[in-house]
Amino acid sequence: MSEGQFDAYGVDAAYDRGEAVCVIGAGMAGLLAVKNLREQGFTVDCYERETAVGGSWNWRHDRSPVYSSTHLVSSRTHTEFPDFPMPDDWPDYPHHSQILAYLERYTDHFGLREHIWFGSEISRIEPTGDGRWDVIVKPVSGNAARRLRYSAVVIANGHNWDPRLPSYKGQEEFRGEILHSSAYKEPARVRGRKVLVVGAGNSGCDIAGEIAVNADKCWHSTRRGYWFVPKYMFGRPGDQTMARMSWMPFGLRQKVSQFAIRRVVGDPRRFGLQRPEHALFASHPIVNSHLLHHIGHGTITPKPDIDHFTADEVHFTDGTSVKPQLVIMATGYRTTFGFCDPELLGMEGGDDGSPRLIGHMFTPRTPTLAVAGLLQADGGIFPLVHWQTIAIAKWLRLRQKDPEAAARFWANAVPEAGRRYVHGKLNDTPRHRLEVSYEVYLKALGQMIEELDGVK
Amino acid sequence: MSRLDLLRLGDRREPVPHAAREVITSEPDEPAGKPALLFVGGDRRGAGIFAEHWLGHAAGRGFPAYALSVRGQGRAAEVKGDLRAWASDVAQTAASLPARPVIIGHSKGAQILAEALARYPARAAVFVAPRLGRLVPPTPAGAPPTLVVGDPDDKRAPRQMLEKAAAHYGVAPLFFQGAGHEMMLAAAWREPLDAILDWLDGTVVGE
Repeated sequence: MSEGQFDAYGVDAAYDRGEAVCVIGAGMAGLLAVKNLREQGFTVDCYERETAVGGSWNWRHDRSPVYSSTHLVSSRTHTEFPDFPMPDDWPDYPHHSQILAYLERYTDHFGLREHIWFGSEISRIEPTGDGRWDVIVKPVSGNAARRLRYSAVVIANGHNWDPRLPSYKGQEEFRGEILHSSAYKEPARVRGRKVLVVGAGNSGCDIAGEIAVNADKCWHSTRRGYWFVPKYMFGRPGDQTMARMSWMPFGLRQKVSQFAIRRVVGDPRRFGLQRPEHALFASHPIVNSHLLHHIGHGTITPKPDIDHFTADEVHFTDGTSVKPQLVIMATGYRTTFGFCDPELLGMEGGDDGSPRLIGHMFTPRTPTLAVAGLLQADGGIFPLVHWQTIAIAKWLRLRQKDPEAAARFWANAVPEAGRRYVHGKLNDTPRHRLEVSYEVYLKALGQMIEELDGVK
Repeated sequence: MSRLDLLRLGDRREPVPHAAREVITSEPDEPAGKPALLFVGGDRRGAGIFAEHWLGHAAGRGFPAYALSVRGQGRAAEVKGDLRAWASDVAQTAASLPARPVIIGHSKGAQILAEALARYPARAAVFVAPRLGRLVPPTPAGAPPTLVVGDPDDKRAPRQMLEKAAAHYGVAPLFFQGAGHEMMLAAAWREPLDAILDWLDGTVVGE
């Protein structure tokens, strides 16, 4: 680090926080990290740029991707933290405001608030060379930066806030409005308008359903075929039904589920959609019951991929075109860590270079930097992130308590960097690099925690 | 120590459905900054046996005190359940309190507590005359401080049972000769409760 950097922050000496651990972000992953690090006896300083907890789930936050009708796509009991149940009289698929209430209650129940510094942004983290970290904290309003020194840093800044916007030919000439789905909040925005929704992720399909009943006209452009897993299968939330089949070998479960979905949901081509070319679970499944319903009602018109834009039209790859007034791009998010050198996280550079981590958590470069919550799964991710933060806390504790055992653990762990925890083969698009298969990853986390506990 | 169960297949296949629970509350007159206590019994009488003497006395010493009837007990007797459902009732009730409670399980209620500890990180766990059954209890979440209390002459939770339970959690049992199995209803109900509250005052209060 250069002299210049010190000057730029106007801070020349770090305030040493000793064995304390720094957590970046007080969303779902950050709160889990604070609670589970504290449970392992660590002093924790958590920094949150907003003035409240909840991260993405807090609709008041300007970076929150939730819109008025966001509900979970994994069922309540598959989503709740393993040691803090959601109220059992809540519905199967709670509303986003309930998830925020749940995170707020978790915060207060475990007394986490006093460890969180709100309105504080991390402008940079720098390794000190001896395994510790200098963290430069800046108030969101104002510029009195502070430099603090920590024994470890846990990054929990989320990966659903930096919009990924595609660029199609002629897009700059388009005179209608183009919005990323993260900026879509309320159906009032689309009333009386003709709207094109682009993207068939879970949010694209959900938003299309909401717009269908509010806009004058709704088209939905998707690039390829998808599996639509209904929210209920055989009278239960789909994830419960899937869990009931977990005694089957994966290949058989995949075949049985595909058969059931084909029988119940039917051939997507009948609805004017493409047939999925990949096997079920080989790509993040779309949990959605209402898209086909709206297509059947004629309130959504499916369209293939966009070919190009003109001043007032959008042309598709099948030669058709439409004249939308508003285009909503539900095209996902980029993984962004503005506060640290990408190499520290083993990122290969470029816009979408995803980090190459050990167990989706630790960077092989340095044992005292961890990432929590940077994953996508074919199930609710809250429990996965809970066990991640338990593993992170136990790892940092082992390093202090038993350096020899820690060195053995680390030597075994480093070759695991970049390992995928999936059944079979997954599509290798950038977003799928964060993808894990729920059960495969949970088993791996369990093994790691047992190793850290010294259970042989 | 038993292994962690991360997969929780039973719960993921068939979550415990909601059922009515009964909670009897006794709050201190002045908040003393002490953690709440959640009492769990092991038979059909449920919360009632704690309301007799223990709740009021605990509140008198500054602990907000709650006694729970899980499904099948007390005023929640209508719906039947099994160990997994009862443990879920305890975790649900604990998580609904404003802050992390100490959970105190009596007799078969101690077995419910042992099961609930895997799904809720209690502030501390107190096993009173525990009858833990034959299965090895699961690993508690968050490693709560643990106390085992009983009467060595109690025929329903005899000395070896107390010692076995205590050894499982890596502690030494605290004996109250002559307190009987149902010590919260005995003439000398005050002594064992005061010992538990003293231990809490020294272990978790002001932590």
